[in-house]
Amino acid sequence: MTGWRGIVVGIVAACLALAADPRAYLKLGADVDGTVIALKWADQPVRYFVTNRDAPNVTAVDLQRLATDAFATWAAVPHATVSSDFAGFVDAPPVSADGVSVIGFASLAGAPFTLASTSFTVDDGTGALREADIAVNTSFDWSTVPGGDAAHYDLGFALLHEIGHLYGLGHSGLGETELTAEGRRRVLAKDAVMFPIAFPPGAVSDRTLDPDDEAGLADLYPATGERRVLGSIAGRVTRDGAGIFGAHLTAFNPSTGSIVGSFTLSDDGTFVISGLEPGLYVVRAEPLDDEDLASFFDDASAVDIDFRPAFAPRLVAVPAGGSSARIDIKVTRK
Amino acid sequence: MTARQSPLSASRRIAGGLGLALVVIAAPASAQRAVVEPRVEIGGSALVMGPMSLGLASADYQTPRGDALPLFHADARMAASAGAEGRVTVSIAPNMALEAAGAWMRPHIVSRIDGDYEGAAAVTARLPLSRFTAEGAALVTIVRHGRTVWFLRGGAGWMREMAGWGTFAEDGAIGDLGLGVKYWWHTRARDAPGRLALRVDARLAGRAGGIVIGARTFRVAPLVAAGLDVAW
Repeated sequence: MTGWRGIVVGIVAACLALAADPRAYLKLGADVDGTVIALKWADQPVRYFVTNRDAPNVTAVDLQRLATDAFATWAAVPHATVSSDFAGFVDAPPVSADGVSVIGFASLAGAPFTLASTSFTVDDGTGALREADIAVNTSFDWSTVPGGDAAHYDLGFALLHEIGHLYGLGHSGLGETELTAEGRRRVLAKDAVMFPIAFPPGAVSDRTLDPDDEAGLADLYPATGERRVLGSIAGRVTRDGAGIFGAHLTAFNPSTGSIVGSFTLSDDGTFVISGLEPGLYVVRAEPLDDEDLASFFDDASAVDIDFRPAFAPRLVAVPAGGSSARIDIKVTRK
Repeated sequence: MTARQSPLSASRRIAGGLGLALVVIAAPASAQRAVVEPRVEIGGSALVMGPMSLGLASADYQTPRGDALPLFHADARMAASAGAEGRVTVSIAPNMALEAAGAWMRPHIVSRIDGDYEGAAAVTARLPLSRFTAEGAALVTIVRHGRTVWFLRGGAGWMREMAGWGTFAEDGAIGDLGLGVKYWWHTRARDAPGRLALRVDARLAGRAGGIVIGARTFRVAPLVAAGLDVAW
């Protein structure tokens, strides 16, 4: 008999905090018998309910409509196959281990800066997702206005981000932030819906998915035959000959303008950036110093951020259905 | 006077007529000694192509207002490169010939990556390519001066560029326009091809597609070809 386990990730409002994100980078992971495997749904469509509870300015029907739109946005990702099915309104709150996946408003009193969070119930035997629940924090005022509302966070974006988690995507590192006087982080710019910190109230530019989000989903749920269409970059980040753990990698395609990220996930500094359209890429390594490390890794102390950003010394050709020649990026201490 | 004619004298008359026709068709443009263009030539040249800009691209993040925040820039060009060309040229008129050519080159894409938002040191990244082209061209003779023949050449064709040991390939179109000169001299060896020519072309070579950085627009570079043509 297999057990179930709960996992929580969330998007934060201009700050960090909370959210233990298990061994994740682009994808969430689960430990099954000592092996980390990617969290994903074994069966689709993902069947979900919506809690029949309103929030200030937003009804449960509004929430359901925006959730349906967000699911449709993810379902339209090229080279990926995901599907969902709205099963109806329920009185049940969005909590784990009740046997149904629920999206709803809830009070996240213990996480005052968290806009919304996603919790999972995972089959311990297989690592497959059994249930996912999205709680939208009623501590914030929400907007459903198409053009945005300068006083309220955009509910459409929050749902798009959380449904990315629901499918098994972790946080993206594609963003730049700065520390405010209060010691919190403010987003200057980003290039992924799955970046862990939200734009300020009023911004609606994050309602569409970016190439990094799409690459993650295509890697996790490839459409039939798509493994032969997309390619990857493999390499290693080192400092004085030793591998760097937790370095953030970006692959930039100058022809399309797309940027896709990844991380070094082992002590020898090796990495793979997958879900890439064939083409030429500029690859860059940087320390993960624009976000809370706990938003990405279980053990933040293992992440090495003592190095200066650096570019790969050559352009990288990504073939369809294969990996580039391995590249080495040498970095130096700050 | 007799009406009889030997077979031999008839043959001579026919040969004389053909010779007259050839002289008329291949009438020299100058008053100097005529050089009759051969029907078929096979040649090869070394190619040198000049540098070509491939465009500027910016890796941008998006601000809350929807503006771009550049993370870094990549300014790319195709470095000057060398290669080889083989061709077959067939005369179809006194001053016109058609040509089929195939070429291989080994260019490098060179990209200057700088302007990093977080201060990463600028680098110049390179990537070697293999380029194969197949082209059809028309040649029009514009001046004949003794053994020297000047011509205009215009061509168009297909290109394949490959990187990463052939694992990544992109196709494109090529087109070129140029001026060339051939200098002919006779060979004396028996059974050897009739003539040999030194040929030099200067072309303006354009391309669309292929492996690019930045926008997929038509780009042009100078190209010089120098080699030999052998005529049959």
